[in-house]
Amino acid sequence: MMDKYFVAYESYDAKILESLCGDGDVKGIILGDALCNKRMFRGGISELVLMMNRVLSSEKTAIYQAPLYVTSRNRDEVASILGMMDGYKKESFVIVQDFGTAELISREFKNLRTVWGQLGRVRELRFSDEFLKFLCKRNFCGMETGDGALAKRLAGFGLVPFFSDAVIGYQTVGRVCYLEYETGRCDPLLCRKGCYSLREENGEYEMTVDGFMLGKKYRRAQPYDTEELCDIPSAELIRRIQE
Amino acid sequence: MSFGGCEVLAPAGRMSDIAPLLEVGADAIYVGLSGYSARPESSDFSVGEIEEALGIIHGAGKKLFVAVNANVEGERIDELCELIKKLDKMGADAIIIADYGLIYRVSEFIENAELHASTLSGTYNAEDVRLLCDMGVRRIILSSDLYVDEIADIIDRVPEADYEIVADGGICFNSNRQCLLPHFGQKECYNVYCQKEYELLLSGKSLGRAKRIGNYPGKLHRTMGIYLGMGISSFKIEGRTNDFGYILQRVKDVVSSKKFFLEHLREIPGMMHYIRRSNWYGERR
Repeated sequence: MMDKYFVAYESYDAKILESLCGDGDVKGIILGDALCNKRMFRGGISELVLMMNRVLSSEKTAIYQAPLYVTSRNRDEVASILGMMDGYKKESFVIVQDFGTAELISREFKNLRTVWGQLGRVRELRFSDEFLKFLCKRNFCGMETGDGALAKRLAGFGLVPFFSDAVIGYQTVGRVCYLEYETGRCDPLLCRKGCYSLREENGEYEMTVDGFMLGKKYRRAQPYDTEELCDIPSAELIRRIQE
Repeated sequence: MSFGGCEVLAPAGRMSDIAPLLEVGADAIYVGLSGYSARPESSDFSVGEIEEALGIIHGAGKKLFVAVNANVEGERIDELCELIKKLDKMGADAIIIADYGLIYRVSEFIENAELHASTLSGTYNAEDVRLLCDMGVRRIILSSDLYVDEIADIIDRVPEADYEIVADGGICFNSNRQCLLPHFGQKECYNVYCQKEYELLLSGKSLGRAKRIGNYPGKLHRTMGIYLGMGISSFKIEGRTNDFGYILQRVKDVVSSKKFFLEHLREIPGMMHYIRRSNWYGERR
């Protein structure tokens, strides 16, 4: 097993961040939530900026998880975070789910390298060889995956497999988080909890098919997949920590 | 602004669907290429069937688009490219593709047919659209989970592309990219589990019908004018696996809305300016 890894917490506070910055096993820290930064940071985007600055000024590698939907609504916000990262003039990474954001990075931010995110799919989990070649052509350095076989394929194309030990599953209704859909508000006490725990706390939340649809946030990768990673010299490991 | 036209695009799951769809006013028809669409083979067309369909559709002065929007692995990509070359020579008006890698490869050899980026390609911003246009894509089929202001912004920034919208069809309950429910099996029957009827059970005892998971289909025909004003030029009816009677009615609704809105556009030319564009006062984009 690799001794150093990238780490992604489900939520951060200053104490967690400081301990990660001082942890010798941690190679880099992933900040940013693909759907809602209020879920990851109590103070939302402002805390993301402060914490990103902290990581960038440390010896750790910073990875920004860009939003799942980068549209006209949040493009400027995303661009300002990218600009801030680029300003440190050290190699940092951005996990993206769309080629538009990757184009923006490739064109304007020379110190940032792009990683195709595990959420960069529409319904299907299959990726053609042509798609992987296209990632190389668009200057992607790697791709995040929780699939051991795909990790090997990526290495064959010269892409770094960022192997995630958990597959992310979000609770959303369209683009709205499930909690906000049901309650009309963001509630820090209830946010980040799976359907099942929500139900235990308060029976009034309306579930669908016993919560099967929404599921838990993380599905863990099979253990043998992570062990096989040792056979891929270029592979990186992402540990996703769920409190 | 110039008016980009208004196309009603209808789905055909069988050869027998085509004549009635043309009769009720569809401007273009799309079919899936057998084994390579995001729908089961039972509702797809073989290359031979597409050739036959082209004769009928072009004979009526209308267009045929072919969807090859499933992600294909390994050697099947080469087979698929050969089929696309055949379709191109045969006179297919457009090939609908989701995979960016495949779009890039096809753009290198396609000669006649237009390339359309499927809604499954997940295009959410103007940079995405510019990249696709640079690869020779003519039309962007916008994702159904974009908000209206986001659509307006994309079209405003890249007005040279054609834009299509799903005017009638399924809206995912979960994010388009995140649904953990099984969606389909190409060679099996078509299953969209969020659209199924469920029953609530407690210790094996029925408590009655469960809330439906999926949203009911989106129907934009009554508000088509807004989208025309934004610059959408094609309105798709989804559902080549649905009951054909239902589809035919949906096509009729969209066709009659098209007639209504186009008549009113002639009466009130200013209607096209309900969406203020950035070049309205000569502003820079």
